Amino acid sequence: MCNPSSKDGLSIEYAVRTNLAHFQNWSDVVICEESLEWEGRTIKLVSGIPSEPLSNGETEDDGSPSREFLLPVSLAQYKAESLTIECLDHVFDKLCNPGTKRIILSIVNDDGTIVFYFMYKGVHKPKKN
Amino acid sequence: MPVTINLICGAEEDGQTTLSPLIFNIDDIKKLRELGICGILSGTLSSAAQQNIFLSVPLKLMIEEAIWLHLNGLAKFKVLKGDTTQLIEGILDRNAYDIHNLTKERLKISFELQREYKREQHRLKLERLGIIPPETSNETTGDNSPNEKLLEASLFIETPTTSNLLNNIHLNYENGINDYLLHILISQYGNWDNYLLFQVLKDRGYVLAPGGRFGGKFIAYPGDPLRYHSHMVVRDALHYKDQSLDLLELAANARLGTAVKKIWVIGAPVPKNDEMESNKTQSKKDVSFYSVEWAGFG
Repeated sequence: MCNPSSKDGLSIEYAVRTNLAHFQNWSDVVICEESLEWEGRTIKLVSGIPSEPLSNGETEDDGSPSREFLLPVSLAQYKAESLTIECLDHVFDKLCNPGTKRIILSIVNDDGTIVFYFMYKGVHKPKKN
Repeated sequence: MPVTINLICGAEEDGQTTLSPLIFNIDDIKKLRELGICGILSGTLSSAAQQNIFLSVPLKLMIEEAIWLHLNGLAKFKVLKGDTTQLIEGILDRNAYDIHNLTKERLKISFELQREYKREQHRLKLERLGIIPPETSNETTGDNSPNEKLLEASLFIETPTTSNLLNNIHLNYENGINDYLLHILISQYGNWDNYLLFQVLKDRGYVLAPGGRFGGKFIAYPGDPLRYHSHMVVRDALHYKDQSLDLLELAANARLGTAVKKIWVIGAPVPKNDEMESNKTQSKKDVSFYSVEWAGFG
């Protein structure tokens, strides 16, 4: 979810892309074309392939990690970005393939850190660990 | 046969009556357990209040559990007015003489049965050892005084674990009062949306318990809490359109959840356009849930 005024190089999508590609070693990381206009903001997903299967991740038949979709949100220090359940429902409906079980919420802080959380649609079991 | 939920009227705060749903009957508690309503045993020994594992009746229910049971026709409400301690003190004051006599009578019967049993055992033992011939009557073996003293010293006094004292002191009530009580429970209970979350999860087979221990509204077990660890920490219901997620709260809860092998669940009832607000207590709404856990990196 980026501020419409921010340039590509400063957008949170770009920050997430850079983090995944160069810090987490993901491959084929792209900012998705489809976008959703939501309360004055433009929401875009980022997608890529992890370097190894995620702890609770799906894998392809040959055991290699499958493509993941990420929703970047900004954690401004004193102004949390408005992310409602309704907004999440729209993201799953409009930006994800039908049957998508989960996306990865990517919380971009203004100090340069990015944290990642699985967000499953519906009620889901915790991972085995 | 519906179970009986005793509603204890608490102190009035801001002119509002508070009701605590309690179950006193062991058979009712068993029945509820089979329905996946566990409640919390809250009766305690004042001398060992810290020993939670020994807590006993009454079983205290969550408000949601009481409402769910009533709406599904599985329970009826009874009101106990006022502080139970006072109530019982009142009964004791009024009926002290009768209760005293009754207790004495019961004790006498119990002692007599014990004496009879012990004399018989003693006789059989002497018989086995060949000290007395078979079929000697109890009188001939039992009346020497040292034996009799030993026997008196060995009698047990049983302290009963149940009481019928409260059975007859419920308020008289007319038809329709159950609905009125339900109304009080609901109005006392600030957030109807939380009940909707409870209802959906309960109907999917989860067993729910209060979630304070893990910083949520509920915790959800996939079956009986004695057989399973809980899977989910459920947050207070969110408003579907107006309440945005606090991302720091999300991070805190999802991290904690991952550390204790649980997933953090958030949910909001989906509003329907044609719905009347006044009709909300009976409606079955869809609830949109999301489950959040740490992705394992970052």
